[in-house]
Amino acid sequence: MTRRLHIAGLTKTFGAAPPALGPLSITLEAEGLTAIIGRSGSGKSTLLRCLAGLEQPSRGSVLLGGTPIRPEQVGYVFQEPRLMPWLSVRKNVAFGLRHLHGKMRDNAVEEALSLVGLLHAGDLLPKQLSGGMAQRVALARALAPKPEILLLDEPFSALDPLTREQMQAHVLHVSQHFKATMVLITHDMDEALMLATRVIALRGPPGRVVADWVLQRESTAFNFPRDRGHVDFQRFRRRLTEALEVRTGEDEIRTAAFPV
Amino acid sequence: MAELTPSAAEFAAEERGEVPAASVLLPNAWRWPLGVILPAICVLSWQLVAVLGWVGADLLPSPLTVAQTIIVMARDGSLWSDIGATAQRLALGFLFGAAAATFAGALTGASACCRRLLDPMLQGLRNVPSLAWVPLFIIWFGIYDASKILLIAVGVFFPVYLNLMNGIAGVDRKLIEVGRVHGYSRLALLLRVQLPASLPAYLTGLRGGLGLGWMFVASAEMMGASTGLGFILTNGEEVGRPDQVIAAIVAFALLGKATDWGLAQGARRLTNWQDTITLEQRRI
Repeated sequence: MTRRLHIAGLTKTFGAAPPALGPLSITLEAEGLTAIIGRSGSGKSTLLRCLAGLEQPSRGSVLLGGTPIRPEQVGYVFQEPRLMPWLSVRKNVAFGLRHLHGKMRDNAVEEALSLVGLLHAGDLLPKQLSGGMAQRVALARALAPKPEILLLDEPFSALDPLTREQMQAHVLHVSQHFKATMVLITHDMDEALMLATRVIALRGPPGRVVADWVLQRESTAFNFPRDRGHVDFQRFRRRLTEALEVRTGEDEIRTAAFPV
Repeated sequence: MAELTPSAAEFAAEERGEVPAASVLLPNAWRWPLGVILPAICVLSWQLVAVLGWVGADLLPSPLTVAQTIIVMARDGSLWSDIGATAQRLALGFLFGAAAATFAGALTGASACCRRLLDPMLQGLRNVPSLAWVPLFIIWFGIYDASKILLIAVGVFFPVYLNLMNGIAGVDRKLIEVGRVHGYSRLALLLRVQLPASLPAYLTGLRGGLGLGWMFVASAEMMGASTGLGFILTNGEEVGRPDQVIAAIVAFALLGKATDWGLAQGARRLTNWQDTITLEQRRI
């Protein structure tokens, strides 16, 4: 069962520096893919790291169904595959399944590999994989424990355009067949609009929400599969560009009228 | 999803833009004799010097004389019993030294607190000359094997300790974060991420430790032993038999090289996951 993810007053400060993030309050409904988009320094990766427990929030809370998140409830796909180079693909996927043993673990690994189309590559070592395959293994590793929350930290940024499209298709497939609340960090607007059911734009530092749209509610152009050429797709793309743009000064943005 | 043909590995290698390695200078079959050329030139030159009488046989016996000495020692069995005694001391010293270094290196590599506590003292001890330990070990453990094994263990300890500590401390933070995301405890992180990741550094330390072990076993046996290759050295000096001394040196060199080769082969198998360029891919 997937539950609502509630972020309340989340603030992150590193040492004596000004806050990098927040205060930020967002509620993510169970399931669906939320894209968080923003420029470098807008705090999107810090937000994701706080959700994964890699950073402790300075203030505020992150609750899943009213209780703090436990590691086994989170899957995380990093910018780079970060596979353990000494483990085979199969063992890398099993890396996140510390609580499962024997047949149950094998089945979970096979299921995750099948979801990303890599069943045949289970015995290969990471050094034998292409960039796209390695990132798919990383996705399988994150999916294998069947997390309630799947966090994707710019997972396509290091891939070439063709592989990136393939990988996006995998993530879209996963978002439609895997019951998890997915959060995708990206700075690619097309990627956000192609994959997400909701788009949140951050601006910072300190990172704060400047736009928040549930896409399918906004336009029928956002039913899957999406068409980049659709007039509404292009219209939202322009609105998103405006939301992220800085005209002059730190606090002045063009999109003050947009729903926040 | 398209199937990868003819094999996933080959497909992935092709995607990465790799091509099968081929030497531009030497075919594969001709590569291994390269390492034999230089020693062969040295032996031939040595034989020439002996035959021409440039150095007296009482100082530098010819390679053939040394070979004859080795054959005689092998036939009467003394060579094998001395090699056996040396190998036993070395094996025990290596085992104890490497085990202690593994424990200390893992501790100081994984814990900053342990590192601050232990490392300054160990680094200080590392700089003590090996021979400085000899009188103390003889006083503590007598002149028999215990003091020799301990001296060898001291020699083996430091390269293994340093390499493992630095290997663990230098493990990519990004890999550790993967473990943290999956809720691994500090011990689980050490066992499942840091130790395997530092295996190449550890194996380098073991090879260095083994090399020092051979040096220390010679020193240990020369300080007072009635068996072992070190004994052949001191005995040869006492009875004025340079052929015997050189025979022992040759035995040390061959055995040292053989054990290092064995360890290197084992290391290569254990770290075949590393994405490094192979000798074959260096194209020479």
